[in-house]
Amino acid sequence: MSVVVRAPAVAAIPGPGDLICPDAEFEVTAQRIEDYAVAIGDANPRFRRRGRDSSHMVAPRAMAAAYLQLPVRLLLTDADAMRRAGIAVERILFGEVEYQYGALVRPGDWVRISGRLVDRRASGDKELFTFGMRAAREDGAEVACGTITLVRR
Amino acid sequence: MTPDIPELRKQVTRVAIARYAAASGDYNPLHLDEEHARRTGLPSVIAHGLLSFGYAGQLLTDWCGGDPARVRRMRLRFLKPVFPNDELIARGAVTAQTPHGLEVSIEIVRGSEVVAAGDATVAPFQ
Repeated sequence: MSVVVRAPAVAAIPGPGDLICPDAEFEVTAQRIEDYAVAIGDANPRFRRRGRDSSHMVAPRAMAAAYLQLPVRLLLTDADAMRRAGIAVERILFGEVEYQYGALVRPGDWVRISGRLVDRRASGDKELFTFGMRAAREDGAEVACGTITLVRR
Repeated sequence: MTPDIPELRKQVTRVAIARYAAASGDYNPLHLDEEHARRTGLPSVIAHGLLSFGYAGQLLTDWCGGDPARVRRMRLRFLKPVFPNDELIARGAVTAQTPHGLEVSIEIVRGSEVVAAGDATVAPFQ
């Protein structure tokens, strides 16, 4: 997985808007699209190469979830930031995702992903963290935007 | 005429979970390490929630004749953990037609139990 950290993990204050994820980049390749489709068990021919030809391929919409989470994962691996924010990473799971989709992505595209914490709240004995995310191609076309809500069990 | 949404059946296996980990780069040990999962109070490893999101995406894209461009929005809430060997059914129903497209409800079920639920917006059928 080629993830390029474009900025240092910031995140000093554990409030919405103050916890900014490091930007990430993701290279869309025919292999990655196929690997994703195989993992899901999706035989759609648009997600599979024809011999060595990948000119017809596009990425599945749901594959955006795989790269939109990258900045959040980078943030979660910043032990110092997580300690200051009081987030127990080992008990974190995905609670909800919502994405609106724009341009399709194809093999050869690079996607830039950014995100920040937009809401943090308690729900019973759990805590919810909602990140606003955006992914765009190199030409600036928005690929997907939306939210990832993580749950601390 | 808008066709019904055919159900999609999936068997969750450890291989599928490992493949999803590799495809997404999410190697959280909750999904891969049995002992780690038990230490955190789970009965075993669990599947990535986003694996179910992938099933929901396939459900909609298949319904759209295999054209992912027609899927404009997806939301899914993960309600229950999914374990290896679970048999899941992804299903959907059209709930409304708006100027933006068709609004669809989505459920991922294990037997009678809903493990994930949400909604989506899909471009209308011509």
